[in-house]
Amino acid sequence: MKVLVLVKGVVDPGPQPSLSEGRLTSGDVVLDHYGKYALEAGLQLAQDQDDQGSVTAASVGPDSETALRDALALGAQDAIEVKTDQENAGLADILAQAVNKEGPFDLVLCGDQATDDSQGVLPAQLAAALGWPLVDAVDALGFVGPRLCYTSLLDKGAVKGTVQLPAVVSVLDTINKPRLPSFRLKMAAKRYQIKEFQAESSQKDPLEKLEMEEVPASSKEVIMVDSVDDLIRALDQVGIRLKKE
Amino acid sequence: MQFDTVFLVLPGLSLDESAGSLTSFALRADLGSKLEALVLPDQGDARYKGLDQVTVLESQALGPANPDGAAQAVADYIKEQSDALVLFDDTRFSQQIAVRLAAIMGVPAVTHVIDLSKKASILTVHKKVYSGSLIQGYRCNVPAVFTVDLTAVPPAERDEAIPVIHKEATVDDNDAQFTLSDQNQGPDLSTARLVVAGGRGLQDKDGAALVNSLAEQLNGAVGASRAAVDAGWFATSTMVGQSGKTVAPDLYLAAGISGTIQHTVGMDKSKCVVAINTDAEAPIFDLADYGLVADARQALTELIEKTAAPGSAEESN
Repeated sequence: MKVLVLVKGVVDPGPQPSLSEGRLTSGDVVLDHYGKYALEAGLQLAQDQDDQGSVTAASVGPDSETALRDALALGAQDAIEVKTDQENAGLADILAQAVNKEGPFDLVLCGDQATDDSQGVLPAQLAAALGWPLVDAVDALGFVGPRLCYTSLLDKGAVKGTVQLPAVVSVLDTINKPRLPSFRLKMAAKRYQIKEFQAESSQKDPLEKLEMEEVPASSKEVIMVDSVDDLIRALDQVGIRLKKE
Repeated sequence: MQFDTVFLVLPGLSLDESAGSLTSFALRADLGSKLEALVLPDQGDARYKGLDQVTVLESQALGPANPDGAAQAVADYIKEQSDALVLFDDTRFSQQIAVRLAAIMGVPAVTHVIDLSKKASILTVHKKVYSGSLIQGYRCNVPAVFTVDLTAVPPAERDEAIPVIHKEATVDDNDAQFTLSDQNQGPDLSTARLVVAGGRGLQDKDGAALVNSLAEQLNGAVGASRAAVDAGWFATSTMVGQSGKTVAPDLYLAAGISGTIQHTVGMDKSKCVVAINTDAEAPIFDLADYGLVADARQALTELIEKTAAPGSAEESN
């Protein structure tokens, strides 16, 4: 089976992000956190298929190359950089073009969001653009015979079902424990000739991104106590009664 | 371009108590339109003050295992309204429906919105990004779909005079099955007024047991950092933070939690935060009201002892 994993290059701003005119000025580009889990899920599914399984990583955007080389270092067999000549273009349509032209793929995997925008909107848009079913919030994924079974985690319970391939599956970052890159694959990834796919420019994104702002600093001044007794007393004084009468 | 009706989709009323807060959020945004609540069957009472109408979309195939069906039902119902604004809370099930709805309608979506304002027909929203360390703004026109972070948004009052209409929906069923998770003893983490949470500083499962004991004794819910869950000491359902739940209790007691932003983004709206950690430099102290530099296990043991009901035998814990 051929699996496509969507990955994203994002800036890791570090513990003290700094902004200038609404744009990040601190941090290095990394493979997005959530994409690592999608990639691990894809690698595990492909491995289970022995020699018949392969994982291709695809990415769009100015920081794609870093994400793709990291994905190769983790074990993806191929990498595609999707290029678009229009900034702010409809990503789902562009990615759907790539999936269709570079396929056929049985499965498209992605993380359920990305750290730079926590949106989680793309999987549904992509599934709609492809006309494929979508399964999301996935915490467990595996084949039982020919059927792909999933468990989606909701706030108060879980949904179990099967999905017909080809499908788009979006996974949570609790689904697995991503492997670490190997030195050998890292070296090979540096030399890999990343494939380019030029997408036809799509419609402009109707959502306009504004400048980023800092989160207002906490105005709290912590009161340090020296003992549990002092803590219980301090809380009691503000009406929080821990000790039962 | 004005929009006549703002739709609040409340698909998980009986699965999520914060749904009433969505009404008060919409009222606060002062959108100047009708407010209509769309509700799935058997999900409880959605009659909140400020709504013009509650519409129950009726179909046997609508339920927590079928987000596609719910999205289709909502899309069909509102398709007459060309400039709809549709609001959801941001619990998982609601998110699933919201993103599918936006894809069906071909409209922009912003998730986990923390504020919303409108000027003429332009909507401006903000959300937290980069694990909650920065705020990103977006602008768009209607039609649009937003999911809203309702942490610490108080619910609107109930109003039994709001009219309720039932509307038949034609929905494709699926084969998926939803199972409610085992109800733990004690209050539900998402809505508990007191949370005792543990992190890596607990050292091991015995340390975790202290958190469970104290929570039970104080009639609170158990929370955990990602590290503690990954270590196998707590269930995933107790995780607080970016990858888990967002809570805003009256008291959040963080024992052995360092306070990375991935954790604090899930509890920084708590009214009172008590932090216990051996590291005086731990970032958790930056948002704590009270701090104690101490070993989490020792402090928890002492707290259990000192908050026990008088006359209760020690071995009952």
